[in-house]
Amino acid sequence: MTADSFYNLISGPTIDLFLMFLKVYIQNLRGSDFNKIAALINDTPIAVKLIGELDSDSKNNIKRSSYFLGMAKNVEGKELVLKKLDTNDNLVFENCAAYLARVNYQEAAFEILRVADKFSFLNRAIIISIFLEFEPTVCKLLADRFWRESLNNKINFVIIFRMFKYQEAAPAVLEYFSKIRDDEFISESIKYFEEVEYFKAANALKIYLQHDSLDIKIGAIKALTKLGAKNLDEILYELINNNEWNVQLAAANCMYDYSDKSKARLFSMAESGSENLEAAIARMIISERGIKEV
Amino acid sequence: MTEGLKYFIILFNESVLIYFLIIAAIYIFLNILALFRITSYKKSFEHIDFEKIFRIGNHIPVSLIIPAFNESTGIVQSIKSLLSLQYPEYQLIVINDGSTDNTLDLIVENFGFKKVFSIPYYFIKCKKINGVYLSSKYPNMVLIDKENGGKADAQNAGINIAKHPLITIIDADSILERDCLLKITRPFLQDKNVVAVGGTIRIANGCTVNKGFIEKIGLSKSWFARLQVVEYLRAFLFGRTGWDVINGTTIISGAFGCFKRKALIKVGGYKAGSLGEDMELVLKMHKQLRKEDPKTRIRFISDPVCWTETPETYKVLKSQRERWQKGTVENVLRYKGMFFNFRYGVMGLFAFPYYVLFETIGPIVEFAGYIVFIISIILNIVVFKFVIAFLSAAILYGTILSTMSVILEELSFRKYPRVKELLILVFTGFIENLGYRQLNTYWRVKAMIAYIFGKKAWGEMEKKGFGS
Repeated sequence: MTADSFYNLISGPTIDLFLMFLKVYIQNLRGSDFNKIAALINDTPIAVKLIGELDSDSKNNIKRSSYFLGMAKNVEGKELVLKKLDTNDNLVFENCAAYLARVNYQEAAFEILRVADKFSFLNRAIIISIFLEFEPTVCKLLADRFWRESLNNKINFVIIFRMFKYQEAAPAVLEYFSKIRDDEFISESIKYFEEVEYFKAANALKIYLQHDSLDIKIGAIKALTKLGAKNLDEILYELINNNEWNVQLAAANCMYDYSDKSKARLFSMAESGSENLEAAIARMIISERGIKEV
Repeated sequence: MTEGLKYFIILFNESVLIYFLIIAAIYIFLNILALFRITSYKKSFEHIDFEKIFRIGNHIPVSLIIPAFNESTGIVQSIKSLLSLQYPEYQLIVINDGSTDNTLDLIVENFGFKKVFSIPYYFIKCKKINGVYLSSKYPNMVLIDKENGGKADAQNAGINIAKHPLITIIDADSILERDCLLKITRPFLQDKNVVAVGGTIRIANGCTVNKGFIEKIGLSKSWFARLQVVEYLRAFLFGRTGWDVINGTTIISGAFGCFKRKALIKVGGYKAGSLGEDMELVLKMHKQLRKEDPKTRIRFISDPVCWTETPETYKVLKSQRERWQKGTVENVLRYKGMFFNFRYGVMGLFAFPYYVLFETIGPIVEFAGYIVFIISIILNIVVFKFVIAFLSAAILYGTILSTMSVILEELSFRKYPRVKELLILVFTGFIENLGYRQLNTYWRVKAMIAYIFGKKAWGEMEKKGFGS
């Protein structure tokens, strides 16, 4: 059978059948297999049919079309999908938004955020995963709008900056970080500063070593150690005696990395022969790190 | 025959009928709840790539605990498959519970373990830990060698060494689907009050296992295994999902459950020596943790799947069911204070009383019902036509319940790809009522009597293994 005759087979009802099967398998395809399937969608009547369905009122058709066209990175449907984005159905929204991101239609980025605000139950991770489908250049666009956006969107932006390792937004994030007291923003900003190694943030992070939230406290310990903040030896030693297991583990791990002085202290705790928790943690971390370095 | 006896028999039969109708109503209620929960749950995640979401970094690291006692036939393959689970950050803890075969040597040799000087802190009491081993090849893996103390004790040793905030506990011969950690940890991210989550257990007998993963799903040729497939589908898809909707989860299977480390340590871990340690843990969590925080939630979700081997012989199945029933009785007696106790919310007012009145006492009522029914027929107290109608209704109802779970399975998870297998399951749901159900009732009654008279041993649980 020639490729042309195979393509001719894919028409009318067979497309529905084909897409039904494809839906199950497409997520598991990688590399050249995925590209072949994408080409098959774009080069056959499938794409024409899917683009046509975008104009319909059927939610199922819109979801299906935007899903497959997005997978195939077919840009021809972008204006139609943008029109369908503002919907009350979260699944239609998610599929349309993912399509727009996959074809890197950055002009739609703020429209996606605006509509996302309508769905209060929508998980932040879903919005972020949609934005990660864009090319990294979307970060510049977001950074330019950082000050104008809501706190919720600022948090989204900081996560996106971190995922794309976009350092240019760090000064703006640090400035806002110094003013705001929102736990989620603080926690995400700390992870961002650590990821992009923004040394200027070190001083601003120190106060969070005593924060009530474990995530923030642990994040601050790790970030400060990675950023090489000064005078952490005593603080880390105190934190290993904290009453929270994960804080203790993070502090012990950081003692191993931070300085020779802290590392020696960790070894002396481990070798003290004591059966207390701190000694057990020190032994555990030294064993773990030691075996990794073998 | 005296009028009094006749009156008693009629009264008893009517009581059994009412009892049966109440159970039927509860099952229907649970089925409706489960149907809505599963369909809406599946729909809400229809187009989401979970791996991507967790890559964002909004995941909670997990320690996976695998107790092993004389598991030399399959432990290496099990560990290899567990090392390739889809999850951003997890620690694998294998506990050699004083095996008398070469389980320890096999693990050490195959994974390049070296004994390290780490001595764990005993947050929870357990038998002496002889050594902690780490591997340079697999830095996320820990091996513990300890004195034999049984499964619960080994699990407690694992809890002591676990370093991550979430702990997933599985059996050494459990087969996890690759994405099951991504799924089972989701409720912890969605709700901070969740302290434990149970996943679905499915039967691996008849499936093709390759390199520690299920390659092809199939049905065993053994009718005992097939009957259990239907039982498990019904129990997990309907029963547990239904109870979860109203926060009434009473059990998380020991073969696959995920817990907050902090909560496990707070309640003192598993009760070593218990006959039903998995149920005991969940009831203990309800009792202790809800007292401190009434918002505490123990969840069950249906899509993270763990495959396990079930007994195919009469002897082993009987032994397993008797042990389960003894475990149920033991736990019901231990936590009797929760019975109709409003302090424990839905658990105290509905779920636990249901467990006592229907799951624990149920076999006795059913067994007595069969006997009195037969006496009634012999003594001509009930009309034969009524007997036939009643039995037909009971069989039809049982078949409908089983069929509904098979249909729900097909609509939602589609694990069985062939129509033939689904038809076999529906047929199995029918024949289950013609002997197997009664056999189960008999075993459970026998187990209760044995428990009362002090025979509390575990019984044997021999498994064939999955070979490759």
